[in-house]
Amino acid sequence: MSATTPSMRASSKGPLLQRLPIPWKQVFIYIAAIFTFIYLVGPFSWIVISSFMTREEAMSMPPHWLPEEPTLINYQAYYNPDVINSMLEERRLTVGAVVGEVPLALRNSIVVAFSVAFLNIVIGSLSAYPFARTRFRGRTTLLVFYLLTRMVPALALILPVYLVLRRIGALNQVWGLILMYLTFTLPYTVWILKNYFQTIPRDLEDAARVDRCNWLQAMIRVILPVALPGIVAVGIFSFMASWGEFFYAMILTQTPQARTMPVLVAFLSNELGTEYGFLTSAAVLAVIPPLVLALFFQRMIISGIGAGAVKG
Amino acid sequence: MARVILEQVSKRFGDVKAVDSLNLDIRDKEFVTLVGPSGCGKTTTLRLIAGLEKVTDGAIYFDDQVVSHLPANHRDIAMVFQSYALYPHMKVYDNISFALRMMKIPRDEIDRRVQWAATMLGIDPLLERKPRELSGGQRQRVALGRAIVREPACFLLDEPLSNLDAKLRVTMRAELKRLHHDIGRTFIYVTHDQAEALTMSDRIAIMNYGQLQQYGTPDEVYNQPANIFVAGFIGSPAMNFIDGELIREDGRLRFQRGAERYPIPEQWAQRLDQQKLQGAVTLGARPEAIGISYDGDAGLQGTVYVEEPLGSDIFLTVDVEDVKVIVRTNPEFHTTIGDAVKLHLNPQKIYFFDTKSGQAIR
Repeated sequence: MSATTPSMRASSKGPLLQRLPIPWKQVFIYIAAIFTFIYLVGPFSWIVISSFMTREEAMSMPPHWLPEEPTLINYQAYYNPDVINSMLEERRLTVGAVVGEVPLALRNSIVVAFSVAFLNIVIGSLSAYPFARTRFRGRTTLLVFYLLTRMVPALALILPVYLVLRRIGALNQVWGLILMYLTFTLPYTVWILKNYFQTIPRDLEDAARVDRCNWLQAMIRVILPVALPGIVAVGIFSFMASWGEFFYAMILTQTPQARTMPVLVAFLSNELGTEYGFLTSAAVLAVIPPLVLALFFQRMIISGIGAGAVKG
Repeated sequence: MARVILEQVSKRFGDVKAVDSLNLDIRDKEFVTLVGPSGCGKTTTLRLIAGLEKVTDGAIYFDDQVVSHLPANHRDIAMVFQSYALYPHMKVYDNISFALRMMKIPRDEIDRRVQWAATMLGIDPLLERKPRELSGGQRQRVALGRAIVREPACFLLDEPLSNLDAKLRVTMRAELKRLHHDIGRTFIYVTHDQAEALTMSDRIAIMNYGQLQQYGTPDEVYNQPANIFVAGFIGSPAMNFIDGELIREDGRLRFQRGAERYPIPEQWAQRLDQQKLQGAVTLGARPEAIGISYDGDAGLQGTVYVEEPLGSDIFLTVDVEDVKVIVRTNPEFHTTIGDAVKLHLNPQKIYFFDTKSGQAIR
């Protein structure tokens, strides 16, 4: 057993703390991380916090970082008519009209985003699979062409798209938006899934064929379950892309019938003026579905689902 | 139950001919091994039989039915892949029963067959596990289980032991052979390991550059190789080859190499005489067909290059006029590097090959 005590060591070489170098690198990383966190989460937190404030408190100067009189009134307005009815007439008309549109826009956004995600998965996997597994004339050209379509700016496309959609009666229709969103999500989906399918050992598919599957059964029963992380990824990608899309939605939906949340929230900032409480509660409602989806599927993206399929 | 016949089967990938006019007749319940170096076309042949590739030319028969046009799911075969190809998202039970479920076999029958296969392969405690929770040997057994529950006409095995460690490979080799005996089906086995081919097969098909080099029993391919390729591929260490010329001197045939001339054993001289052979030939002798001594008049003169003791034997590499000759000798024969020795070929166990065509002279 050593006879040296901490105090002895300290007295011989100076206090312990003085000998520890300051980990500047780590200090810098932590400071940078804190700033990044505030930069990324700050605005969103402010929206959430404001949605629990009364109009007066939300507008107060200096701003309150935490609500002094927290209220659910901005959310209750969506299902409790008394909240609106108790307002002064001018305010009642503005808030009432706008709040009435939020549920419809939310429903439209959900329908559009889920449909686009679902169709991306179905059409995307069926299209990507042959690209991943077979060699045919024009394969590479076609793949590059898919991506090239994404190089054309939306501004250049909007006029012809508008005319075509009007011609086929797809303006102000949810399905018109779905059709439009598929055009810019599918090329990426095909690329992502093609690359994902290529990482799945061909032997798995051959084993399924030998085990009495036709190619469709092999795909549904073996390839797709193994490709689940990739499929979830493209599903979420296309959901998010549709959910947050503003430009096409604004041009192609002139009436509340097919209006989605991004467009409505943009309108609200004009129409609601200083009604920050209602404005932010609508924004929070717009964020909840993609947030829930991301949290839910995070569990499903199990890393290493392919482990053990082949040797190693 | 199936006899498998390949008739003039060819397979091209673009300009590459992977399999070239292959003829094979595999009897019912036979264990046939396709063996050859990498790229020789053996796996392609197996995939053609499985229906995973389409033949470019020729026909494949199962018994007397042409199956060349049938996709894999319509041929009554089971296959074990080199990578095992277990379905990673399914438990062992579901992996083994997958084909049976596809065949819409009643659940209790599926249960019975899976239990039978799992017991036979000693994997019954693993049925609820996922493939990633298994060791290499266990995965290999699951892959075998997936094949045997099917009770197919024919089993195709594509290098199923190559990912196992050396010890397990030897154990599984014996178990596979026993499995073939117990279930009595046609087995077509692909390997690049000639030892596996020799130990397990009823007959061996040796392939090179997409062409069949020889098709025969292990004894035939080892003792009567059809050409230099087969002679060099089968056997470990490989057969020794010494290039030289047949010349006639004083009315007798001799094998000339450089300045040295060696008399040809009587029985070979008669055979070579009958075929009126002269010119470049290659002499082949397996390591066990060569005796070694420190003295003696006859024999090839050489110096010891290296000694590799194996316990039961010693492999001596002897330098004979720039040719390395491997000799198998008993552990009592001690040498040191650089020793001058004489090699004596057993006339019963030497081979002559036409150097130009590579074909064996019989």
